[in-house]
Amino acid sequence: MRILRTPMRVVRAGAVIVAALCAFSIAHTAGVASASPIDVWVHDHSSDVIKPRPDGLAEIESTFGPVCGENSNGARSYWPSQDANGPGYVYYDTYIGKNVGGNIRNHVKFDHKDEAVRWLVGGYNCRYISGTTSWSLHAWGAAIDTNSATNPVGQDHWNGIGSDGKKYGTYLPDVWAGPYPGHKFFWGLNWPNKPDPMHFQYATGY
Amino acid sequence: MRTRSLIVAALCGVSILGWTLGHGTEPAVAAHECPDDVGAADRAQGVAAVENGRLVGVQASSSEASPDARAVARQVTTNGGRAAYVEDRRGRDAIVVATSDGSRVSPQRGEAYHPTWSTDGRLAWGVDDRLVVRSASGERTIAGPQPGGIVFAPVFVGRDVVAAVSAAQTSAVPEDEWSDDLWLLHRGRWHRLTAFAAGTDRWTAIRTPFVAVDGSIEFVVVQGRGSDDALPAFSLWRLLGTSAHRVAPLDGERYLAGYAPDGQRLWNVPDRATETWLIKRDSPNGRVTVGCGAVAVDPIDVPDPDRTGHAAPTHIRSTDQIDPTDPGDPMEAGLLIGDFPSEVAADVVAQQVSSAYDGSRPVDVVQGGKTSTIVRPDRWAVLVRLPATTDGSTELAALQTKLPDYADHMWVVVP
Repeated sequence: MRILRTPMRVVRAGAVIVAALCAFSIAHTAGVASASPIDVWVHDHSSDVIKPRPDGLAEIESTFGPVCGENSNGARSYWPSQDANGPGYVYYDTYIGKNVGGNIRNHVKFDHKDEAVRWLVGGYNCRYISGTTSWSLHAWGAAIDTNSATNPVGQDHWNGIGSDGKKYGTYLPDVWAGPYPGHKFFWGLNWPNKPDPMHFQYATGY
Repeated sequence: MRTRSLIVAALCGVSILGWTLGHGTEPAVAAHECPDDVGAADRAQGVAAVENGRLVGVQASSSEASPDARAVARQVTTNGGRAAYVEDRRGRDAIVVATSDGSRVSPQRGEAYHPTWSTDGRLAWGVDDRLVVRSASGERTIAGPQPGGIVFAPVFVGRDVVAAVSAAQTSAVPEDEWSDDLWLLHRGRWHRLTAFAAGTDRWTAIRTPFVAVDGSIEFVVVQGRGSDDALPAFSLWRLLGTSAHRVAPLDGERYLAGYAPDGQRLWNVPDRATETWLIKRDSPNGRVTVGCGAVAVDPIDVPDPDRTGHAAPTHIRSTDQIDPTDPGDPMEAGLLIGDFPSEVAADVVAQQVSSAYDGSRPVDVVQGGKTSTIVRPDRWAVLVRLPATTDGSTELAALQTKLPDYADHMWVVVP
């Protein structure tokens, strides 16, 4: 069986050229004087990608399945400054696979804000919430921690310093949990007791 | 023609509506193993518990309404006619001691854990990284052995206290549990009793210590790896004096709930189908359900008040490339099998993958690059492109079945 190999560079270069020409034509036709550089990526805010967000343990289990299950780390993407040594993979449940791997990761990349990300970045983790018999939402692959070293549990604000030492404000929380662009994660900073600014989860009531 | 189209459309609409209603988020109806009178059943076993947010198995009851309407009772213990439990509130918790005459509510300075009685009537519990002991002569707060950690699940051993202590978070494990051990508080000083293995990925948790009939302490040890996609291993341990040893592996998730009047162990076993904690008793014929409710475990039928957050605040729009009202374009996902150190190695697997699909799916060999969001630089992987409407979870499971040797090296990605 012959492997179908796509000449990736050619396709990407072609796509970029076509997209740039299209954008230029549209902008020109519309009378726009100048346009921002167009990057080629797809965002999808349909209900196929931004799916219903479960509320409470019963919905979490019916949505994500058993804790520490096979789907819980069935999706992944590659993130800058994932740990102290540099970039690495972040794993999460397939239910949020397109939202995280497509919308959010690409949003950061194509905003040219990779440097806003600062270690640790972590997703799936089969563990308990400390001192309890309750499983962490990370054990369903339904939560992501980002910039944890500068945003520890208990800190009552977001520290937006990036891996390059620059300040990015609330750029990352906005991408994950803000009304714009609407990726619908819940931000742990909004818990009334023991705020958790590093923590973004695709569930509420747990 | 138009009439026929309308009929077809109506039928489709009804079908979709029916499918939607039939796939709601309501938990499945499952047989409930709990006895009709949970309180009487639990009382017969000599345990008190929390079921549906109320105390069961104990005559004493709280007569004071909590100032926090969302407060939840948890981790209940009895001593004669008295019961003590944690009133889990939003923010700082309270310890409640309830008798038939009323209740005494003691607000705490943080998250409270597992009140426990001594045989002579002292009461101890954990608060964040501290232990509190209340006796007739007053109340003492003792700093735990691990600043920033958690002191929980204490039990009295004569004049001393043995408690589980969870280590503080680290930069490598910034939240959740990673390393527990048992510590002995003797004459005001802490002595470490166990040294379970734990690290960045590997972890050990100690749960539900109880003093057994013979005076030893039995407890559940849970050991796993954060990266494993399987439930961790549960085992029963015993501490005799200062020596701990494993008694037996357990056949799944369960925690000690105390001992029946005949000395048999009682267990809290989660029934995920009904969101209920079952109380089971060891018997010669196996474990039998004798009651319901959470004893030393955390309720699963009500949310933790600390985890009921409010809506995200509205921020000034700082990411302006996407309008959230724009649904965008259908996003294509893929299945990625990797990583491989060379193109040749990826080629070999790509052929197997293509064969598994009988050539019906586009299969590429992709190389990581500086801008890749799916494969690290200098690594290769096999990418199966999926149509935008395809459910990645189903496709992933199907390919894992077809190629089990690579099942642990497959992921849903967005190329």
